[in-house]
Amino acid sequence: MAVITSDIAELYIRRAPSIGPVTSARHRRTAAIYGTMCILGLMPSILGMPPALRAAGLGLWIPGGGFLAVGGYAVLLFPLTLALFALAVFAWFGAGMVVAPVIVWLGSALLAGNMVGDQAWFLAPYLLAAAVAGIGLYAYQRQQTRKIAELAQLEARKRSISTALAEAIEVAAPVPTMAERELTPDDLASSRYALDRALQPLGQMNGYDKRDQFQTAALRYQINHLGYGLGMLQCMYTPSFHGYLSDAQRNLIELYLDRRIWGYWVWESAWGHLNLSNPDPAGKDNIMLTGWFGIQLCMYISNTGDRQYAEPGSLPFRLNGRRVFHHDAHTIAQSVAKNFLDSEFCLYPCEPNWVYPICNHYGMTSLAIYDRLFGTKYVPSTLDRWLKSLDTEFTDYSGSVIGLRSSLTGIRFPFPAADAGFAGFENCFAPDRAQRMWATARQDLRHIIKTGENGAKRLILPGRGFDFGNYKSGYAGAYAMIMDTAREFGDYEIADAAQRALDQDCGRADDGGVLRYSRGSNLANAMAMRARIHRRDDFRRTITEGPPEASLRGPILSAAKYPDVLVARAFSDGDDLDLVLYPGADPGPHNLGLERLRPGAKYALRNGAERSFTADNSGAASLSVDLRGRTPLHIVPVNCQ
Amino acid sequence: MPCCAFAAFIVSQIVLGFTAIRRSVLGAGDDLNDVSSNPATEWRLIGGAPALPRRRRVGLPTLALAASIEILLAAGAVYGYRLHAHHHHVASLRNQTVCIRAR
Repeated sequence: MAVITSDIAELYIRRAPSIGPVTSARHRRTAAIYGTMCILGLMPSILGMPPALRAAGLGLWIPGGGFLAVGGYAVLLFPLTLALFALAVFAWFGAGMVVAPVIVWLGSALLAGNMVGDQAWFLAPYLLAAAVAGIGLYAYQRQQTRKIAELAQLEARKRSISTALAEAIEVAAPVPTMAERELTPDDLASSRYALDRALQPLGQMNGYDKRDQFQTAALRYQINHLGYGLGMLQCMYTPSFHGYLSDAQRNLIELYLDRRIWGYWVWESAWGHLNLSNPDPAGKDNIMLTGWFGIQLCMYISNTGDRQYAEPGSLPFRLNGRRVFHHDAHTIAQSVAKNFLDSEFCLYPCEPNWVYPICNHYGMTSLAIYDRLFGTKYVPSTLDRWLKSLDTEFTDYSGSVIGLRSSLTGIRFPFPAADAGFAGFENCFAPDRAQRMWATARQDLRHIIKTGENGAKRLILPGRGFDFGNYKSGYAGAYAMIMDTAREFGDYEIADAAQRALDQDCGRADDGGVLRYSRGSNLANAMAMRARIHRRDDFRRTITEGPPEASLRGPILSAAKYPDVLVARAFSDGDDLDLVLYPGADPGPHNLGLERLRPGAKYALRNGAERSFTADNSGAASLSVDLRGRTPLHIVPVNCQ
Repeated sequence: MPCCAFAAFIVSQIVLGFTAIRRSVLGAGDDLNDVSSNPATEWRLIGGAPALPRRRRVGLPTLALAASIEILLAAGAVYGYRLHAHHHHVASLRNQTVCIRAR
């Protein structure tokens, strides 16, 4: 029986539901502004001012309300303005267009003032007051209903948290040893999905979903997730293989600098921050870029030891012929750390004004890996305040982290969020909390594990699902996310159930040596690739430990042709090179390039038979090796035998 | 009547705009069965035919019809606005006349 870490459960059990002080202050400010607008709006009617002022004033109560005062057919403009206001709010949420709702609201009030004739409709103030009160009551009622449901869920969770934790710890598989790490043929086929996209000539983006560049289907997230998959693969399975695997990661990093990827920030900076002069992508806010990209960058640095992106200005975000924002791994991390420090919430916005806790988890994870690589103390100096804010400002009454909150108004916006989605990140910097979070998520997931037609357990999610990578229906992304997190916590039963669901429902296709899910977006496929190769604590170890130290100094496989040579395993103890290769296309002889051998030393290549070769003066060597199916190779210095 | 034309014009603009946004955000369709060919996931670097994104083609007659409706609505709105403005102008002159006579 596993030991229950009671202090993990304790936090949950003691948790007193509340709304944090910053959120409360924002709510008060929003209410005060709205109250002032209502009073100002009513004054012209009370004081018998001209009809134009009365109509405009009533327009301050509710978007388009002034059209009621205009009367006649103009009344139709009231619902029309409300619809337009809803669109403006969508633009505000989707692309940080803070000015959109303001323009619609104030603009409609001014228009109503301009349209009104000799007299305002006398019933308008009464009807508007009734409408505002009705909407307010409805919103309050909904909020109370939600609060009651969340409090009930909290009570249920309090009762079950200890058992849930015990179960989660008990079923968790052990962390695999280095000797066990080898990609299966399916894993290799899946990794080819990511490699195909990453290895195309720089600037080309074939095989990506091209929707919008603001929300979840944006190219940047696809690039990030392809990078995370390849980075984790290299760290956990092939740390001693650089070659095309490192090329692929560098390509993705450099593709990210393309203005088509980050240019959205020019717009968001303008209409969200009203900043037309300095759209620095790693300046104020934009943790959806800095946090996500920071992880990808640091994974590459950590896996390869290549510090080119830590050189000053090595990441030029080129806006046009004259304007370049020079960044590097340091400035990206500093941006995250500074924004955490500057924000009253500690967590800070992606799009101007919208704080997404999930992106802030990426941000904190990026600091965790950066701290390890460069010896800084960003995480220890920020984490307490960050977690406190997360618990008080961004947690609902049931104890789950919310999807997002407006930093301007304090309003919580309905956006899907799942504990499982956060747990993997917290495992990198707050593993106890992560374990609790996973235990809670796991309890919820148990209800969707069913026995499939072939008798094997699989996940069944209700409805048609939604793929955030292409805005179509489908569950590929959800299954991949669940599988990925379950594997991180060693829960292979749930992970395998998710894998079966993915294979059965999401259009698995194995053609041309590439495994893909045709009913999933590119983002979902990238996540599925990482989930497939994921084993217990792989993400945490990639972030907090990196590859074995011996692999960073020992010999490496530096050149192999893609996809002719597929690398399922590559480790070094500092002197040897332990490889498992597969032919990607035709079996037969294939050339391999080795580096970081001892200059001029003699080595033996063992793969059934044994032959020897000598490294050149730079420590490099080239070999031709016959690859037929799974081909293990062991390269050892002759004097070490 | 002119007000109806004006309202219809505004509604049509919003509906068209919303449809365009919906299409760009949600895609042309979300039928699970319509996934046998997903340009993003089908694409392969080597050995596979590059899948080109399929564009929904809008026929010339549809375009012409849409343009005609737009022009009609816009003309109706302009006419309505001018009528409305003229009406206000006349009413305002009448008021002035009344005021002058009252003096």
